[in-house]
Amino acid sequence: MLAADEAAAADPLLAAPQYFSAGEMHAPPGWHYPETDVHMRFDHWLSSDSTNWTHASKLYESSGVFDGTDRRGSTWAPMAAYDPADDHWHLFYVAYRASPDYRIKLGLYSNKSLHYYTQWDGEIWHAVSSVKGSGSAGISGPYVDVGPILDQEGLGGYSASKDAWEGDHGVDMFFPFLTKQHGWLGLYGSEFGKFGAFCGDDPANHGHTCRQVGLAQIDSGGGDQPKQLTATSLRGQPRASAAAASTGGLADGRWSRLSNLNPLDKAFRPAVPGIENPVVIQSQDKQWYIAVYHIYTGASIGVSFSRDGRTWTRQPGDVLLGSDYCGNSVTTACGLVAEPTLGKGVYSLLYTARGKCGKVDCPLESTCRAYLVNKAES
Amino acid sequence: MWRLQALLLAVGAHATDPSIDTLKARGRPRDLGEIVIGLAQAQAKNITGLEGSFYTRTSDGVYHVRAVR
Repeated sequence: MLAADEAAAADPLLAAPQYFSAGEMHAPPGWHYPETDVHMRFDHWLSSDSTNWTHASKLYESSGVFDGTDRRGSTWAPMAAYDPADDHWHLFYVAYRASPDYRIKLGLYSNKSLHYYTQWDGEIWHAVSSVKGSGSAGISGPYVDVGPILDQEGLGGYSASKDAWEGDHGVDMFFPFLTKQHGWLGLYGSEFGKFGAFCGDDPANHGHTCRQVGLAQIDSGGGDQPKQLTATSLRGQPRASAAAASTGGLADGRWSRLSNLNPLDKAFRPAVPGIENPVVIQSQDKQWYIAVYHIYTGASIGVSFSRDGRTWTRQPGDVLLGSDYCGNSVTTACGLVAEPTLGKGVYSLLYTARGKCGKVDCPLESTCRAYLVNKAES
Repeated sequence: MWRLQALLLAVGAHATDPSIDTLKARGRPRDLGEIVIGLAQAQAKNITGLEGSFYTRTSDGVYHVRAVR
């Protein structure tokens, strides 16, 4: 996750790139299991040049509970956004149950692969910085959980018929972004398909994993003034009642799926192999929203763009990143940061990758940096 | 189509792109990507891997692919 441009303008420290990582760890004390993708921690990193990073703080650590009882046993994909309406940074992340009991074959069509037993029943959680303000103190937290916002139960208006493209991985991606025309929108995603339309109607997709994204938005009813947020007032407080008018801000927490638009396969990628974790920024000329995302295709990422945040167009082809100095398999596109001092339309891309490197030893899935140029701005 | 073409993002490998010339003049990128948070920093935090996609990896280093493409 990388800081928003508008916040950077108000605080020189925030002009420096910020990065929120999700790190995998061994089992926590009291547990014994070999999986390293259950027990997780989020960290905040700082840099002045997108190349040299220093650790700022640990933001969060999941319980690592591996018996399916904890909805937040395994947590991933921290994504933060600043909302000027309440003058707070908001953190969103994906929370899963994890259990070896779920290590069973899918049994759907010809798929012999296993359920995602280390991450399932995904639900998007929302936390808010306890420090007010757009600046570096605000983004650094600490963050206070205020509750879930999107799942396949009662949150986000899930419909088994309208949202049948969503799979049994649960809601497993989420990125919020503020638009002029439509207020807060969120790209969210899901994988697999426990329901009827398993990877869509195309028989060629049966037996494969599908990973798709859709749009959700904050209900904006033109209601009351934004809630005054404090750490004390947030902790344990229920969401605004359904009868209350929405403020349209992130603090409101009431998201609705835009089911009529979803899934966005044409605007991003076909369901197989699909995409993961789209991250949206505004172009430096403020004319476009640009999404970068993981495409399960070697050392490359995908790009889509939009004028208003709702109607998206896929950029043809893949953006190839090379693998001499970073792994040959990208695992996440973490975000873009504008680099105006390096030229017009230049952005630094942070991404994670694993696999072989051509010229150095790459023993670990690592965070890497590359530069991109938006030719429309250069 | 004009807009589509105009928005194409290009990786910094085009020698004719003045922005990329600027980058090269500053000595980077040496490749199109490089590790900026890697083994040393992760180990200091007991991290065995950084944010990635959804797969299972056990402590023996084996990746357990759970999806068939």
